[in-house]
This record gives sequence, structure tokens and C-alpha cells, in this order.
Amino acid sequence: MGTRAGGSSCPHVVALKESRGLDTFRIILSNFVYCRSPRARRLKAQSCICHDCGTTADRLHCCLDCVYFGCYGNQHIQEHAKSHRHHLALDLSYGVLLCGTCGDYVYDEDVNKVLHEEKYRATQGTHANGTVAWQPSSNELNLLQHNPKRRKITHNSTIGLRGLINLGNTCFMNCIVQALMHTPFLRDFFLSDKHECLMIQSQNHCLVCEMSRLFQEFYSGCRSPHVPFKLLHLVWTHARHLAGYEQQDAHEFFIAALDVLHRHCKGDTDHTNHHNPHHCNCIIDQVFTGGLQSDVTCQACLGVSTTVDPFWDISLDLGTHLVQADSQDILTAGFLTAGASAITNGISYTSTSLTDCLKRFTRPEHLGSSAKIKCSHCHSYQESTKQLTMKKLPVVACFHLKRFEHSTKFRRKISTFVSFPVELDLTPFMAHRRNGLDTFSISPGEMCPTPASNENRYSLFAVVNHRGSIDSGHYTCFIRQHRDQWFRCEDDIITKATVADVVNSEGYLLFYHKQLVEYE
Amino acid sequence: MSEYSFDGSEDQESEDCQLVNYAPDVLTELVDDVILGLCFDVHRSCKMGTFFVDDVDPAELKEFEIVDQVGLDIFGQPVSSKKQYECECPNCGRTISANRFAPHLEKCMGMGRNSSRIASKRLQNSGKCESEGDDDDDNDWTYGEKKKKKKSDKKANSPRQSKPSKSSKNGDISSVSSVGSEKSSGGYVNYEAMTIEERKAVLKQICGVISEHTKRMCTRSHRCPQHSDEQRRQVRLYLLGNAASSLLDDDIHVDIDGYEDSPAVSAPSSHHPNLPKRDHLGRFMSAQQVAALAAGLPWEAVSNSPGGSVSSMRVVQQWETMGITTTGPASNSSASASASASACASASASAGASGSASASASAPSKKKKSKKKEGHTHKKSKSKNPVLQQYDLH
Repeated sequence: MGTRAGGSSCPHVVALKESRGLDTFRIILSNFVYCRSPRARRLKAQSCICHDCGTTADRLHCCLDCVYFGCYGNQHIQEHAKSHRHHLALDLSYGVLLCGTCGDYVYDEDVNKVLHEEKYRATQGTHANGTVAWQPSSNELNLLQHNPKRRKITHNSTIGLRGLINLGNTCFMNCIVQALMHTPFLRDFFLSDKHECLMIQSQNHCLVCEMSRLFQEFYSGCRSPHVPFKLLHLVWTHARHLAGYEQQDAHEFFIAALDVLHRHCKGDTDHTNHHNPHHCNCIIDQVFTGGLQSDVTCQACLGVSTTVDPFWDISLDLGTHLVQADSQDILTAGFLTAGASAITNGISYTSTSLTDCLKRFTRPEHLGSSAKIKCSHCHSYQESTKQLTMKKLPVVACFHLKRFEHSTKFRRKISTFVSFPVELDLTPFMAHRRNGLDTFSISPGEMCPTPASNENRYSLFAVVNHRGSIDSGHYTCFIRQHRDQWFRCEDDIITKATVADVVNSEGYLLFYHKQLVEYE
Repeated sequence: MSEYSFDGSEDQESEDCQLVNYAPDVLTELVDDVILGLCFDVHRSCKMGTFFVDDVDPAELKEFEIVDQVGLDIFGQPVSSKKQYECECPNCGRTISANRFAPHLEKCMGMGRNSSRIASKRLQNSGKCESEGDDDDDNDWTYGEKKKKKKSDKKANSPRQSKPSKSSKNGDISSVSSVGSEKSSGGYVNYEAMTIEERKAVLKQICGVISEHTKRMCTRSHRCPQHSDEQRRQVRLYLLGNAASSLLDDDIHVDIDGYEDSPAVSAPSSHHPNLPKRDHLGRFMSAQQVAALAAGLPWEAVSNSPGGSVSSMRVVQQWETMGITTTGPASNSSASASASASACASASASAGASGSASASASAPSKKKKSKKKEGHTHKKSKSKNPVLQQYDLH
């Protein structure tokens, strides 16, 4: 077993390459291994049978020197090789060369190349033609051999986790950064170095490049917390409305950051259609942008006018069922700016769940007689109902619980407990399921008669929590790493947490990641 | 799988049964195929010499293991450690403690309430004569006034909807209202590297007193309460040496507030020989005093007489109402007339040239006013005060 980089071609392969080349090999591959057409597949099915024992299974091989199919299990191909002096045969499942004389499968760089090409041709346009496994070149192999100290991110590794220093009321920024750093899709994109900076004139100001650097920092294995001063400077430069040393809202920051990232993905030259999400294919849009369908139904003719708008997050109302509707409590709470616990204990709604909030969100709503609109079908002003449903689901769905109420009478934080699941199915809230149905009263079982497809299953991976009152407070977050481990991030302190901790927390921003992502 | 709802013939059913019999075989073949693929991958990597790539150093693994103990974070460091971190400000290049970076950056970028944004803009406009792109961004921060559309797009559901007094949040964090030296760091002036001309230009607009702590100039106006005129004079002496005569409050800079202190001078200006000089209290000086200063005498030796100062104030006030602040001398001592004439005679030749030069060198936004003043200067100085005649050599 040779370990020479570049394969251990046996002399027979070398001889074959020199004498006849690999054309026969390629023909056999394209016809019997990696078939490109249904006709070829039918031919394969019919002719791939052991000439000696008639079996179709048992590792069939095809001889390279003559037209012979033999199985491995019953030694037929080996016997053929010996008797006919035909050294090389081809495995019909994967196209690997078997040298009967040398007694083992052999690999050669040129042969591998042909294999890859044929496989690619055959699987083009199908799901099987996805990623190609990385094979190190001889240079890389050399390097790796000489540098045996390697870091692997195992299940129990801290690599990928890092604290962030609070620069002065920047806990809101730190939480959002943690959530983004642990978004699997983004992580994969940035760690495979896919960002090509288009901000040619001011590359130092590209927030996407800064994000790429942040990923490098997080995966560097460094244990001291990172100081995100450059990020803060960039954000303040590009999102002026957020700049200033004072406490901010994490959700606002999230949207502003996505906006700047989205703009910078386009570069600094073209400003024409940066608000046209239908034409954008930047990583931010790929990951975060979904489509929200709004159906307005005219009550007279039942004609429906539909629009689809892009969204980066869904803001959910918590409901209006007051438990203690004591107006005195409400008024006094409005004037208190300190003592968060006193306020939140005084006012609460019935505890609710994320799915309830979503149901409420997608419920058809009567727009009222004061909001009559002109129906395009019957051309008259009629009352209508409006319903919001999800048309296109994003890879990462962010739910924003509206816990901060600003009304004319009072400003307060609503600390109602909202339960949210770790696994979420968004099928019931999609456009095709919901249209016209007032599903608020229907039980979940009735709503989905068929089991929901895996396409709309989401897993929770980050939760941002706010502790405090409407005027001042502190943000912390939970993030998920290594599939099932949760960690609590409070600025520069990262500690291990349990799923129970996460699910019992208050929840302000909830980040869900699609379980199955299709590559286009 | 055994029950079918369609009414097939018996042949159909037996065929289905046969198919069902084959199901395990099909499954076995599929599984075998997958296993074979995996075997080939491993075999290939062994033969190609890449099998070791996956190996990991166990020592490294141990080093990066997650720690799950009370009182420690996942890196094994105690939770309550108060390590201080520092970073370099991308705006000014100073090293700032990380915890204080945000407030520093706010002032450094000219965004807070107390930052000298206007002053640093003024400096930039005069020093570099280029207007920066984010001039209009500064408008965002005129409190309460223009709110750009970004502000209105802001969602209504955030804890930061209104801005209560900053003190409530910044309570325990000190020095929001910063000292003069902190403020001047808004756009700090590198006076070391500037030429005399540049320094003159800058010093015409700002207080300029160099703080001992930070070695930076105060960027407030000439009426900055923090510094005295004496200090301002000292700075100009220091920075401009013998050419410190440019520090008059002349046509170039029009203070919006109107009457303004002007720093004391030590020599007649090469630009404006006919313009009166003022002392540290804003009183117009006699030529005698001017000459004394030029000779480097201490200020105390050349103090104005009270009488003189009162009349000079009146005159100045008169001129002010007409929009002129820099015309005519204040002294009414005849003895000084000849002295002043001689003092200014040498520089008279360049009077005309410098007069027009001053008009053109004014900041763009103040062109109108200064031009007007020029015009007034010519007219009024001739008619109002006969003493002026000596100085008006236009």
C-alpha cells in the first residue's frame, strides 16, 4: 500500500495509458457506470450481468481489454484476468480500476480526472451534482505532512465561540453579531471565502469584509474576547441614524446591519437598483429575504388582489388579552422609568406561544368601513379583508416579538411569557394553505391533514433577550453550536446553557434556520 | 403495503406480491452500493496518501475543550475577571480603553451633544478647502430639527423611541460633559505640521489655546470662557513668532455673535495696517500700545486709560450697528497719532492689495458680509471719524 501522493498507479495502468490511452475507459464509464441518458440506463440494466454466473449484483466488473462482465464475489473477474492476461477491469458501481494482476484497486490521477468528468456530465441538472469533495494537491499534502498539529472542530470544541467586549452600551450589537456568527449558512459562506469585495473605491469601509474578518476571529481559536471597535465605526459611518453613544434596539440594529451588508454586497459603483430585492442575489438576500403575500379580498365580489413584498423579519404582536386590566397600574407604570420588575409585574397578558402569534399574524382582518378601497375586479369601493401569509420562506427566519409598546398614553415593556418551540413548522402559515381560512379557531390537527413536508421545518439557533425596562436594559443571547449545544453570551462571557434555559427565557428576537436547504 | 384499494385481477395481485418479494433484495443492493462507495473512498485516501489529513493532535483537542463549571466561562477563565482591553480609534488613531470606546468615537466623529463638530468643520473648510461628503450627515444631529427619512422609517417598536435625558442612562459613567481638551479632539489641529500661513488661518477662527494635558488646541471660538485673552495671545506668540500680527478680528472671519473679543497683537499686521488693534479686553489700543507690544513689552505696561476705552467702546458700538467691527482706531490721544502713522506707514503700501485679498480669502459662506463690510469700511471710515483719516490709506 503505497502512500505516495498522486496515487499509486500500478505499472499496468501506466502501460495502458501509454499504449491506448483512456478512451476505452471513458466509453465504458459513460455507458455503463455514469449513464447520461435513459437509453443508456436501459442498456446498462440489460447488459450488466455476469457472463459466468448470471448475477447482477455482487460487484460486477467490466474488463478493459475485451467485452466481458464478471462478478467479484464469485471470483469470476479475477479468473478472467488471470486466464486472459487482461489485467485491468472496471467496477461498474463507481468506475474504480481493479488490477487483477496486482490484486488490488489502483488509483491514478489521470484516471480520477476522467472519472470526475464523467460523473459531472451524468449528474448535471440533478441534485446529485452538488459539491465535490476536496482532494488535496501534492503541494498541500506536503504541507500537511510537515505540519501535523491540526485543529479539528469536534463536538466539544470552543472553536467558533468567542466573547465580544462591550464598548459602552453596545450589548445590542454584540448579541446580533453573535447571532450572525452562528448562522450556519453565513458561516459556511464566509469561511469558504466566497465574498468578493466589490467596494473597490473604499475597500476599507466594506462591512461585508469586516464580517468576513469577524468570522476569522471567531474561528481563530483565540480565547480572549474580541473588541469589535472597527465594526462599530463602520456601522456608525454607514447607518448614521444608529450612531451615537446610547442604548439602542437590537432589532433596529439587526435591520440596519442587514441593510448595510446588502448595500455593500453590491459594491459602491452601482446604486441604481439596490432596493430591488427581486434582482439581488447577494448572500444577505439569499439567507434572510422572504416574501410576504398580502391578499386583499373585496367583500362584494370576492375578487382578490395579491401583492408580494420582501421581508427580512416578522414583527409579531403579543395579543391583547389582559390579565390585570387595572388602568391605575397602567398609568403608574407609564411614568416609572426605573425598577423594571415593578412595572412588568403589574401588567401582563395571558401567556401565549409563537404559533399563536403567527396565527394571529396570518389571520384575515376586516379593514373596516373607513378603509374602503377600490376593488380592481368590480370597480367599486367596498369593504375588504386583508390577509398576510408567507409566500417565500427565507433560509433564516427572524421573529421579532413586539415587547415595547409606544402608544399615546404610555410606553412600556410587555414581559408576557411567550413560549417558542425549538423545531418550528411554517407550513400552516404559508400562502397556499391559508388563503381565506380563518384558521385561528381551527385546531392544529385539522389544519394540516397531510404531514408537513420537511421543506418548511425550521430549527431555532439563536435567541436574543432583553432584560430591563423600556428605557434602559441589557441584552443577552443564547446561541446554538455543534448541533445541540447551547451557549449563553453576555458580552464577553460565554457559558454553557441548557435547552430548558433557552426555551424558558423571555425571548425578544428569535432566529430559526431552515433544516433543508436546496442548492440552486 | 398488503392492502390495495384498486380492484385488480388475480394476476395483478400475484405480480404485486412478486414485486413485494423483491423489495428486500432491492434494499440490500442499495445498501451494499452505498457501503461500497464508502469503502472506495477510504481505500482511495489510504492509497493516495491522504488518509492522515483527518488526524488531529489530541493535545490540541484538549486545549480547546469546552469548560462547564460554575464561575468559569467556556474557556476556563473566571467570569468575574476585569481585564482591560484597549483599541485604536480608526478616526483619530489614539489608543482608547475598549469600554470607553463608544463615547469616545461619538465625540471623535462629531456626533454627540458636546463635540466640537462645527468647529472642526470650520477648520477643515479653512485648512483644506475641501468639502466632505458627509456634511449633510451632520445635519442629522441638529437636535430636534430636521429628521431625515431614515429616522422616520425607524420602527415604532423599540425601546429607544424617545430620548429621555441622557443623564439617566449615563448616570454612572463619568465625564459625558467633557473638558475643553476632550472637546477639541473633534478634529484636532496638527499645528506642528502647519505652515505659518496655515496657522494664521486657523488661529483667526478658533481660540487656539493649547492644553497642557493633551497638547491640542482649543477649537472653540475666540470668546471661549475657558481661556483668557492672555492665553490666546501667548499661543499666537508661540506659534507664529514675530509674525503674530495676523490675529486681528478682521474681515475674513465674521463672528455670527457679533462683537467678538480679539486676541492681543504684538505687531502691526502686514495685511491690514489700517485696522485697529484691540487689547485683551476688546478695547481698541492706541498706537502707542501697539508699538509697545511690538517691542515685546509686557501687557501691564501698556494698559489703556479708562477714558480712552470708554470712548472707543462707543465708537465701536456705533460701527457695529452698521455691520462694521474693524474700522478705525479707538484712541483719541493725539500724541499717538504720529506714532501710529509711522507704525503703519511701512505697511501702507500693501494696504490696497491686502484689503482685497482679505475679501477673497474669506470663507465661502461669509463672502457677502465681508464684502459688504469692505464697502462700508471705505465709506464710513472717511466720514465718521476724522482720526481715522490717518489710517485710511485706501
